[in-house]
Amino acid sequence: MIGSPTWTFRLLIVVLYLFLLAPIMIVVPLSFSNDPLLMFPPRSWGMRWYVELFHHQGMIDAFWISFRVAIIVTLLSLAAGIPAAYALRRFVFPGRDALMALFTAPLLLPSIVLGLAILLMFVRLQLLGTFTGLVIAHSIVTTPYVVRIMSTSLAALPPTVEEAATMLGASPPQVFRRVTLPLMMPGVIASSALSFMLSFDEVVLSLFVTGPRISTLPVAIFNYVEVRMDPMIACVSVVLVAVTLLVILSVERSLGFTRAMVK
Amino acid sequence: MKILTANSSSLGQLKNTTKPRLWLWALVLLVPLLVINLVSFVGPITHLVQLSFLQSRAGVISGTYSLENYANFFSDGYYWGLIGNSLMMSFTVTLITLGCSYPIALFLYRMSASSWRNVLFVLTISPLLVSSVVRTYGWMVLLGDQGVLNSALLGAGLLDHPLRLVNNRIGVAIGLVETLVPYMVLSLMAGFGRLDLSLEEAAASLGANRIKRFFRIILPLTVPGIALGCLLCFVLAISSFITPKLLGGGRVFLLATEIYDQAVIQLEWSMAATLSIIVLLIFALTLFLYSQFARRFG
Amino acid sequence: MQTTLSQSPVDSLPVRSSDASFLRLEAITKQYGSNSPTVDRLDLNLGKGQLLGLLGPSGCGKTTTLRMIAGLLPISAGRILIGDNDISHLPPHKRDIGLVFQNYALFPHMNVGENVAFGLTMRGIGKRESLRRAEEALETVRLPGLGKRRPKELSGGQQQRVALARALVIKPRLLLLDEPLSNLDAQLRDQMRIEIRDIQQLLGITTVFVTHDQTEALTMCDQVGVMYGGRLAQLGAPEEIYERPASMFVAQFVGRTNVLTGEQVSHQQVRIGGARYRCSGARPHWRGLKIAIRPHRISLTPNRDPSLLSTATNCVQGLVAAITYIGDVLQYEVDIGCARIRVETPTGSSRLRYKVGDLVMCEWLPQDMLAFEG
Repeated sequence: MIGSPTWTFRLLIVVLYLFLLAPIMIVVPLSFSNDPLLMFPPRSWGMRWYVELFHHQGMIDAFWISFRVAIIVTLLSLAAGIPAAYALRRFVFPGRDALMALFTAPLLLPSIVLGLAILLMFVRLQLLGTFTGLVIAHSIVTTPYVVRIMSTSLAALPPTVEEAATMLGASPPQVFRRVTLPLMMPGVIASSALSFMLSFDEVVLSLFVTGPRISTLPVAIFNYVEVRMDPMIACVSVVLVAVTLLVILSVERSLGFTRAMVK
Repeated sequence: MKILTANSSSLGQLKNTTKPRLWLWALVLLVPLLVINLVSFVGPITHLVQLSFLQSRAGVISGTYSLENYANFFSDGYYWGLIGNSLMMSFTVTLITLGCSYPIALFLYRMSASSWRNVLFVLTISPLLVSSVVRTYGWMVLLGDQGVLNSALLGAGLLDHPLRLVNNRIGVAIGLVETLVPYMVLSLMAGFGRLDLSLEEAAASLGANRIKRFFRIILPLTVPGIALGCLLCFVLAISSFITPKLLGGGRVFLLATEIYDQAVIQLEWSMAATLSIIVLLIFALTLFLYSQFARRFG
Repeated sequence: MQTTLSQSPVDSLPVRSSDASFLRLEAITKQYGSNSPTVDRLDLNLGKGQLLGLLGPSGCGKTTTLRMIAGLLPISAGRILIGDNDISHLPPHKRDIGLVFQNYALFPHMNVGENVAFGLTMRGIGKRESLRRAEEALETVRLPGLGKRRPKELSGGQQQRVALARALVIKPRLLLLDEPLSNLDAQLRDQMRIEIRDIQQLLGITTVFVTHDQTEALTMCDQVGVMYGGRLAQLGAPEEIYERPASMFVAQFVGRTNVLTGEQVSHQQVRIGGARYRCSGARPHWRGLKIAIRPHRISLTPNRDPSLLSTATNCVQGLVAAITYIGDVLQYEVDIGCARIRVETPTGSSRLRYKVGDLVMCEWLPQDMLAFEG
């Protein structure tokens, strides 16, 4: 039949997927190695490196920093992004398109350039190596996505539904709370999940703005693997992937992840 | 005639009026994001551009505005080498990524909607959802001298000494391709809109075999998607940092790694800023070429 | 403007004439910037309990007018009154007006019951009581027991009824319907037309109904306002609109019509292409004369000597040029020399039928010729 794949084509697809997923899949068995050094296949199996990980103060601290930063960045991006998206969609004023472009522009900039620029700015503002600095730096990566997702989600919301609520006696705040906000929920959930993951996994910007006193988990991993290769990082990686999976699954449960992403 | 005098506020009215009070409302809603944008985007970038025209030594900014940094950059063969390396690497990686992504995109596009398709789709974009340090670490484990691949090949007696797959350009290229495939697949699929199965059926009914159908029908129709994907991957590759830094093991010198080294290790901020501007110029040039191409073929 | 005694075509109940107008629009205007106004100094009075249809082509300002009454668009000038209250500057949520949208605008995140109960909740009525009344309202629109369904799970006709119930349950002073039937298929449309009219009569609620469909306007409404270019071209009972259109635009927009160019000969006579016809209504100071004749008001008779015919009717000899069968009528294109006119006769075996090329007499009464300047 026309369009149906041949067997060689199917085989090629399988190989490509293996290539694509290999680096993620390999860390899982490695994390259960009990060897002192990285070896494959491991000579002995066990939870030794997980135990080491949970006693590695640097990694533990970095994890909690990452977690807290991600939570605050998510809340901040929603708090700043949703009103902005609402204003851009529902008000007509000059410069609207320019503002939209400005808000999404950080997406276009390579993070190495953005990271350097933020470093140089933060040196002057004395934000380098601070929690606040990390939050602000991460927000510039997450807010463009929030603005985009929320403005798509607002555009899909028919204005007549809000007008219907108005005609039934709902005041503007009531319309927002009872109609607009509930209908924006899928967008809010998608934005939160994406913001959290982007912040939690952010490396390049973090590398520039973290310092000896404060480090996020990805930065800690980066610094660690630059000098040593042992199975502990496989354990951290499994933890990181697990956190990501957790976020995806919770979103999947509430609205269907693929739908949220494809939208 | 009184125009725009109503003073009640309602959603319906917000939409088609530019009264000062509503302006104010819009501003209030926009201010938080404007502040974030100013502090961590507009401000830093302005500062960066400024700094590229100043001099700095060991973290102290001094001097007056001049083109000195740019003059140094263009007169130094080392920097020319960097540009060459970066362009060459990005170009190669983009082509390999295209080769790997096209079959996946075509396969996904052809698949009828089903839960299987969703699963494969999520698998395809899953690298995007996993931290780049984790994936890079995975490659280090796979490709290292005592890594999975070499252990297997040596163990099977296929080799007598390990293949050098990390701490060189090969490793960087492998890592980058894997990073970029999801982006390329998404771009390609976005551009596959015009690909209609009936066109292929029509070609087949006119006597075109599988190979001719691919080169005469499928490929030409998907050129816009290919162009978009290549643009995206090229700019991502040229600015990628984590992969070259870790898989290059300090032996692969590219623009992005140089920016980091100059800024964080040598504290040569002005030179780092200049290098950043050069990267942005390459971006702009690439975009310009793409727009020329898109206008002709799009 | 007068609200006339008329026969409602749907249920043949005599409609109360009411001098006390309930909804009053006084010179309301909508203008964006310096463009020509979308709605231009529109005046309109509607009696309590009446159903007004605003009829017009797209872009005539009918929906703008409706949205201004609802308060969803601010008026640029003029006044809107309900009873004796000036509501011109009242925000929409305080106007107490029910509005049914063209796309129904049901809340997708609420079930049908919650949708209908929304307006009651907004009026501070408890949740249980609201839902009980919502259920009652759903019974009125013949959808009992569907309260737990999601709007998406309902058919277009059912969604329409939910939207109607939601607008009515708050017992609004005024009901507005924005092209409520345009998204339904033809059969359902006929049915809903009757149902909406019945419910409106039952509740005696003053209603404004926007439509571009003349059948809807003529069959459902007590009053029809034909709009054109932001102004009311004519306001009157359906029969008046159809029989005595105020302008050539109304004559052409409502029902089919033949348009002929002529000139006035005397007070009682006009000339069209050399022949004279009895026709009153033309004025000597008009610069041009246009005559409208409805196709079904012309009867075809076998060709014979015109002098044998009564002088009370107008007649002209013509040649059948084309025939179209449209089910309930036969449409003839008849060439009368100076023009080609359309004649419609009911189909039926007892009727005489003509063939292309037949010579026929076209006859019509003088009062069926409508004269307009132009």
